[in-house]
Parts: sequence; C-alpha cells; structure tokens
Amino acid sequence: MRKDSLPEKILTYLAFIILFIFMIIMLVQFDKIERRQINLEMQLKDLEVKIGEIASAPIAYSVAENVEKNPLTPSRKYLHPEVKNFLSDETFKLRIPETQVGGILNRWMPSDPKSFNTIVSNDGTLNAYVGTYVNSEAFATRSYSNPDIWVKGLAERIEITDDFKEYTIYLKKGVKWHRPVVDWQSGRYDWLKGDHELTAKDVKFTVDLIKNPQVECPHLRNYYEDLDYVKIIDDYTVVFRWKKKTYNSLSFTVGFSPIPEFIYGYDEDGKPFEKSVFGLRFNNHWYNMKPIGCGPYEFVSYVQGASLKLKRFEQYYGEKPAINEINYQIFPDQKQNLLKIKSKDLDFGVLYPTDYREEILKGDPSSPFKNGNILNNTYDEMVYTYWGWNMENSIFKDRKVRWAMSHALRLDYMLETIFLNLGQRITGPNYIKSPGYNKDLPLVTFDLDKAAKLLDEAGWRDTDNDGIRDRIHDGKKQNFEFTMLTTSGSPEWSAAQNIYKEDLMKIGVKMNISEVDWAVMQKRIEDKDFDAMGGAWGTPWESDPYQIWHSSQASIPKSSNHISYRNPEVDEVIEELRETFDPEKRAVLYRKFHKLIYDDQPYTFIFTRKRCAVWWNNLHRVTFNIIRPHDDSRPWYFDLKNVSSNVNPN
Amino acid sequence: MLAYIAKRILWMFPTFFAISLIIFLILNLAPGKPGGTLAGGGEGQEASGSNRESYRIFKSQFNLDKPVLFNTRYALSDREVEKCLRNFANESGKTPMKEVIKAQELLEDYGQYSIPALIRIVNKEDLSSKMMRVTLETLLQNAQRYPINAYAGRLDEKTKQLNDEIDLENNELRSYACSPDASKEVQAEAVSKWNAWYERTKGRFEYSPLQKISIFFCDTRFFKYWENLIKFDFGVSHIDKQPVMGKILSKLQYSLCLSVPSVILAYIISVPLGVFSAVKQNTLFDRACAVVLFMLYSLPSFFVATILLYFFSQGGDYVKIFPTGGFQDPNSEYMTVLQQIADVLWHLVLPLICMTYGSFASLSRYARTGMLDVIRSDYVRTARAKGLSEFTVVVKHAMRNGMIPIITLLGTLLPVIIGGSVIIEYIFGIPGMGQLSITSIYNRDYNMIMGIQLISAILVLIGILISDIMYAIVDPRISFK
Repeated sequence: MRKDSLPEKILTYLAFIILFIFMIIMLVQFDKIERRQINLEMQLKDLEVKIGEIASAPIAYSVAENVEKNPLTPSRKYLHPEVKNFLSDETFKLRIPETQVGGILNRWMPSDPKSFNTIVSNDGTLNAYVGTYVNSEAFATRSYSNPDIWVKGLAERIEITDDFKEYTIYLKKGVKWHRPVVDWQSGRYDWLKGDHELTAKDVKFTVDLIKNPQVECPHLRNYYEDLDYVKIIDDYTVVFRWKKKTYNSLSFTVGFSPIPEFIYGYDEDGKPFEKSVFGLRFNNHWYNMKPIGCGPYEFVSYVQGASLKLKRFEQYYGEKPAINEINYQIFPDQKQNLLKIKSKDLDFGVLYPTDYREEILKGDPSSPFKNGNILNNTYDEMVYTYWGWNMENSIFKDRKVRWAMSHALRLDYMLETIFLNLGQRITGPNYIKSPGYNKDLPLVTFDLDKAAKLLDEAGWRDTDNDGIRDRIHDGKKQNFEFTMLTTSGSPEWSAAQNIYKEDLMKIGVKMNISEVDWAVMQKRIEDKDFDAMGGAWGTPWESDPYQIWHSSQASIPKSSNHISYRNPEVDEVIEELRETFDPEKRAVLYRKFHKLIYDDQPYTFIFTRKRCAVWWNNLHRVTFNIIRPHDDSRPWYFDLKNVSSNVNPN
Repeated sequence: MLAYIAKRILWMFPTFFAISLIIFLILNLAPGKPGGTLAGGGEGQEASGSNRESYRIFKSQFNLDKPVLFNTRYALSDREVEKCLRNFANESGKTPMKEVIKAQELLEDYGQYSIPALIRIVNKEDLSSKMMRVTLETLLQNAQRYPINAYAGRLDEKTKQLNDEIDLENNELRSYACSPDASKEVQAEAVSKWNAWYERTKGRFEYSPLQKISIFFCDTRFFKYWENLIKFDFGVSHIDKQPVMGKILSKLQYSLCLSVPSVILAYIISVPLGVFSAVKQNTLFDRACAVVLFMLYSLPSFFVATILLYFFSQGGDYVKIFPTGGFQDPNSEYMTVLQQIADVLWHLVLPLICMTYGSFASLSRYARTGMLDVIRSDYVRTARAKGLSEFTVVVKHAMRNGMIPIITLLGTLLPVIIGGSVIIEYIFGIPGMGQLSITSIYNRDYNMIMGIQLISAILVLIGILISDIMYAIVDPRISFK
C-alpha cells in the first residue's frame, strides 16, 4: 500500500474543502432565487384575489338581490307566472359593514373523508367540512336566520303545483362550476379546459345517476324512488314530477344538489363512459378524491392524512364570504387539537369535554383561554342521546316499566357533574329549537319512589328477598335483570351508567353494562340482540319520523326502528305528516307525535348535546348556524388591522 | 453459497403463500364484514331493496359475495335455498332478526348459482303469497348479471357487445318485477315469464365436470385475490377505491423519514455506549449506564411523547420551541427547498426522540455482550502484547468480531422500518404507515390490511435472508454447506 505524502494529503483535503464551500454557496444562491420566485407567486396570488374581488363584487350583490327587479337581466318566461315563488331572499348578510376581507382560517379535521363525491359518499366528515363550502350547493337552502324558510340558492324561482307533485325550477344564469384541479401541463386534461356553467343538463345527469341501480348511493336513492321523471324545458329550466304527494319530495326537490356533468360523465381521457358500465365506473370515478362543485370555496389541494386547502371562488354567483382561504389540518389526536389551538396553529376549534373542564372551567387565570386571547362559546348540536328499550324483550313491553326506567335516571345531577352542562334536557325526538318540539311536556323527574311504585303496578315484586324484583312470566320465574349495550371509549357515559346502575339497584333492578366496540354494537343492534342500548340520533330540522318510529320498519332487517316500536296511533300521525304541507298543521302534528312518543317512553330521552367552540380573538363575528353545519364559517371575518400584540407565541 | 441462497429464495414462495393464506383466513373469518355503513343503519336511510343493491355492488366488486376458499354452490340444493327464503320471508314473525339478516345475505351471495333452485321453488303449488313474493324478488335480484370488466380497464369491442347484451337482458328482467301487493294472477303471469326465460337460458346453469372443478377452486375470494396478486396488483381500498399500492407508497415516505434516522441514531449512540461499557466492565460507568438505559426502556413512548409535547412544543406551557406535531408546516409550499428540509427536520425532533430512546437499552446490551465475548480472547491479548494502542485494539481488532450479532440484527429491522409506529404517528399527527394500518383495521378495509401485511411478510422473509447471508459474510467460520 502506497502512503500519500503529506503535501498531497493536504492538497486533497483542500480540494474537498473548496468543493464543499462552493456547494454551500451554490445552495444559498439557489435558495435566494427560489425565495424570490415564491415571493412573486404569492404577490401574484394576492393580486388575483384582489382582481376577483373588484371584478365580481357588484355582480355578486345584484344577483343576490332580486333578479326579477333588475332591469339589466331580460325577464324570463315562467311556465306558471301566477304561482307565487316558493323561495324567499336571504335576509342574513354574510358580510356586515365592519367585515374585513382576507385571512386564512386554520381548522381541524379529525379524519380523512372517504370520498369527495357527494353522490357515492354519505360521509359525515365530507358533509361537515367540505360540503357547505365546495360541493353541496343546492337549488335552495334553509335560511341562516330562520330554518323554516327556504332561500334562493342555485335556483331563483321554484313553482310548485297545488297537488305538490310538479316542481318547476328556474336556475340562476351564469353559475360557474369550479375549475378542476389537474395537471394542466401534461396535456391529458385539455378536454376539461374553459369555463363550465351550471345548466339543466347537470340536473338531469345527477338525477339519472341517482336512479341508476349501479350507482352506490343508498343514502339518496330511496328518497327519489317516487320521482316520476325530470324534464328539461330549456337550459335553465327543469321540471321535477313526482308520482305521489309526499312531504319528503319537497325537501328533496328544493334541496337538490346537482353535480357537474362535464367531469363526472367522462373517464380520465375525456371519453364518455360506456352506458352498460356507467354506474359502476362512476362509483370509482377518477376525480372522486378531489371535490368539485359551485360553492363559495374551491378546492386547492389535499394531502391524505395531512391537509385539505380551500380558497374562495371568485366567480361564485352569490354573496362571497370574507375569509380568503380555509386550511384544514388533518390529524386524529384530540390532545394535539388542544395544543394546536393553544399554539395558534389552529384559529378555531371545538373542545372535547375533558379539555373543556381542564381549560375553560378550571383553567389557570394566565392561560390563553382565561386572559382573553382565546374566546369560547357553547352551541347546541342537532343530536340527541337516548337509552332505548328493546320491545321485543318481554321486560320492556310494558309502558309502566319504561316510565319507571326513565324516573330512575338522576339526570340533572349527571348533567351538572359529569357532562359539565354540555347538554340540554329534552322530552322527545324533535329538535328542541324546531316548531315541532312540544314545550308543554314536563321533563321526567328523578323519583325512585314513583319508579318503584310503577314497577309494583307492573307486577314486578321481590318475592324471594334477594334484592331483585321478579315475576312469573310464561310459567317461569323471571328476575328483573337486563344488559345495557353501549359503545366503549367515553368516560362520561361510563360514569353516568354506573350511577344509573346503582340507582336501579335501589329499586330492585339489576342492570349489567356491556361496553363494546362500535362495529360490534352495530352488528348486535342489527340482529336485535340486546335488551337496552345507549345511542344518539342526529336530527334534521324537520325529520321524517317514518324510519325510526313507524311499525312497518320494526320487522325490516337493519332498519332504524331497532327497538321494534309499534303504535298504530303514532303510525297514523306519521303517515299524515308525510302528506301535510302546511307549516302550521305540520307543527301541530309534530307536537302530537312528540306527545304520543313521550307517553310511551320507548326511549329514555337524555339531552341534546352542546359543544364548546374556541377561537382566537382576532377572529370576529363568530356566529353559529342553528342547523348543521353549526360552525359554518362564512359570516366570520379576521381583524387584519389590529393584530393583537401578545397573542403570537412564535 | 449461491446454491444456498437460491434454495432459500425458492422456499420463500411457498412460505409466502402459506402466510397469505393464514392472514386471508383470519381476516375473512373474523366476525363482521366490510361495507357496514353501506348495508344500512345510520341516519337518513331506509333498508329497502334499492339500498341492498348498492351493498351488493360493493360486495361483488370486492368478491365478498363469494365463498372464502372452496365454492360448492354449483350443487346448491332446493332445500338450502328454500330454507333461506323461509327465514327471510319470516312469515311467522318468530325468526330471530339475526337469522333473517343471515338468510338475506346468503340469498344475495348465491347469485346466479341459485337460479335453477329458485325456478323450481317458484313453480311449486303450495307457496304462500309472501313466499311467492320473496322468491320472485330474489329471482329478479339474482338473475341479473353484472357487466364484465366493469370497474376498471379498457373494454374491447367484444366485451362492449357482451355488456350491452347483459344490459339489455337485465332491463328485460326488470320488467318482470311485480309490486309487493300484486294479486295471484299477476304473480302467476310473472312466473310464466320467468319459466320462458329459464327455458331460453337453461344452458347457462348446467355445468360440466370441468366447469364444476374450476368453480370449486377458482370462483372464490382467495383465488380471485391471488389472481391479482400474481400480477403484483393488491387491489383497491374498500373505502376510497384508490389503489392499495399507491396509498402505501405515498404513506411510506413519512414513515421512512422517521424510522431510518431513528435506526441510524440508535446505532450511532448505543453501539459506542455498549462497547465502552464492555471495556469498562463493572465500573461505575457500566452500571450507571445500564440503570439509565433500562429506565428509559421501561418508559412507555406514548407517555414520553405527551410529556415532550407539553414541555417543549409551542402549544405547551413551558419551553415553546418545537412545533406541535405534524410532518411539516401547513404552508410549506411557500418555502424554498432548504427551508422545507429544515422545517421537516424541526418537526421530526420530538418524534425521533420518542422512537429512538427505547431501543438504546437492547442495542447497547447486544453490543456489550458481543464485545465481552471477544475482549478476553487470545487474539486480542496478542494485539495488546504487540504494543498496539488500546484504541486500535478495541476498535480495529475486537470490535470487528464483537459486532457480528449487532449487524445481523439489522436484517430483522427491515419490516420495522417500513411498518411505522402507530402510537408515535398518532400522537404527533404524522400520516405514515402506522396510521394507515390502524385506520384500515378500524374501517375493515380488507384489501388494505392484506396489502400491508403481505408487504411486511415479504420484508420479514427478505430480512431474515439478508441477516443469514450477512452472518456468513462477516464470520467466515459459518458456512451453509
């Protein structure tokens, strides 16, 4: 082996050092160039936003106001001019004089949506976080200020015939679909270029999809089963004709949300799908992992498990929200959610009950939650929790027993100590703020004596002095013992059930608790393999009680009437509700239905849930929608001028 | 040596097959089925016929309507089908819901195989009207065929034509449907239509012995899965219908960024520690080192992760230096490449600490024992006797032999590197392989679980092979003859 001489060695080292220094200089130079380029891009983006704002502002307002009154738009011919327009104008303004335009709203999304295609996916994540902003723009929406009123969305006028079977929809003109986000440079997507407008063709296309048996849309198809046909009158006029007069047809026509034909009708190379496999191909459509629609925000980018970015759609036809961009950060851990709110990585968030207790109720006065940097408020969710009694089980067939079960629930105490008042007690299934909620009914009191008396009357007595009530049933002795089925993972509900268990023990009833994984619970509910169960239902503003409460649903596999509730009187009211359109009469019927359910106590109704929302103090006008999604950020705005001095921890 | 490696590689194929069979069986025989959300339940749904249609399409796309291993449905007896029909019709109202649902599923899954039996049953004289209705509905549902090559890929002219024919026939069959409250006469008319159709298509349902054998083995879930696997196609995810392989690759980058530095760091720190402990055996340093490392070893990583986040992250209350989780800044697209690298490194500091400290104890113990084995051997004494410096003796002479066990350990690390860490990824919100596997298990995404498991199985096989080969390379005394 030859040894290098010393000067040679030094020379080699020197060469390396020089090379290294040179590389670093190169890197720094490249970095500078890149920095400059990025700055330019950002400025360009800001300019684009400003141009869009200036160019479309006046138009947006004139569209939002009454088109019929606008002399510039040529008046349209209506098929039934004598019929009153079913839609009203929205009185709630997204922007108030103080509103400042701009800013990026950072929010949390706990899990990835399963698909962004609203037809094939009924994913809660999609509806709550993306739908309202991007792709569930409908003919009309329920008003922000009063959910009983339908206001103009994609349609400017809807005419309904007297028999409520035929709906004529007049679409607004000039509604643009978002531009798809694809790799334009590759040339493969040239067929998608240009602006695409919403027309009657898109509506017909969507209806055909829903009616196509190959398309996986169980959450929609049922509601359109009675739809007879959809007829295109002209590019902007469409007629929906229903076979039957049902109230569901109203909300599913008026609240119909079309999807763009120009992209969903074609495969990735711009060829229309084969007719014989169209539905199946649509289920697996190449654009399903990106949202597209005509809502106020358009899609920018999505990284699975990391982020979803939306920006304001400057060509939006309606009133545009103030905030420029919405960035969702996607991660599953709720502890991280709290930390990210505290570090201002998130501007807005919803706290879990444990965090609510630690930070808001017990928080240290110097914490950002207490010193005014982070504001908070609670809002009602359209969800109620209940314990349901399986009526296939002989124990719970008796109404007196069910009332006894309700009387044995120490609910006020639980609500205060365990649930931190994040809930409001209810007496029945209708949403507490809706007109159908019967306010005359008193809350069920916690009264063990009364419960014991009711059980006595129902024939349950402790004959063998073992502390548990029993009776003779079908010639056999039966102890009052049952199992409550619930999902695992909630310390609050576990605590509540244990209190309930002890209270029941005092009146001689033995309750076992079985906490299982949601998938297992679902299976056991489907099989009706349970005595009692704890659950929650999301309630729409006006629910059709048919699927949960009608007798016909009791014996259908996998139906929502899993406790097999049967009451002919209730059935009658439900059927009448389905054919009544007058709001006053509907409210009366709803209240009657509520009363009947209350008298029967098939569920022990617990409460409607409240959530605690928190946000940094530079976010203003944080109002909550009465209906879902409650934390709709469209009216919110950022104070961009006075950025508070002490808030930024970075 | 080469012969040995060739033999080992050949043996890997049957081993892999056996592994895949076992995983497949465990997955498919476990209670519950994927697509639960499609099958009904939940808000705003009614469980009627058209809902089931969507679920059936889902089942057929993922072959869930086929038997797991062997298919004997070509010889479906009337009795079996009739039993299902009776359970499903539930005339007495006494059949438990569990049986009703099971019967419904089975009837759907029988598909085309049940047609001859259904035709025979529908022609029976003594059917009650409800049974008649259920049988006709099932017939209508099962007689319709699915188009060929329906989910992906190009259709050539021939399949196009075939699909159009199928479509035409399905449309015709749909016109045979009668409403639930149809009268006896209407039903009888429908039956005669069905009989006429069956006469025409009878040949389709009669199987030759060869066909029977091929159905027995090939028309099964396992075969269909392997059919694709041979082409290195792991299928698409049940949840978002994206290719499994693509999803795994996109998640892999995050896990690799975490696990590769973690392994390197662990070796860099623990090997010198172990060597040093061996050289200074039974001194205070050795003992203190052991105590500290084992204390670290016994700290659960989720606990340390949370503590670190509370003390050192910007969302915590004390030293606000590190970011609160995530893989990179949400606005990283406005960063230059250098900034992005720095940003990612900055985000990875805390998770790296959590991933690494646990392996110090075991690795340094391996290094220490390996070293102790050789440090007292004769050749080391000889080296010392030659007058070499202690450093040269330990590093150049002793370490080479002492590190053999440590090097072979590297091979087994391969699957760990790819697998990611569920807990660390969850707490720090890093969208890597760990999170992918846990969510796919929650969602019962069979294809995804199979994909991940099979890939890690392959890696384990390769890892073991590599470590065996390395053994032979570093230690010439070992030979595989």
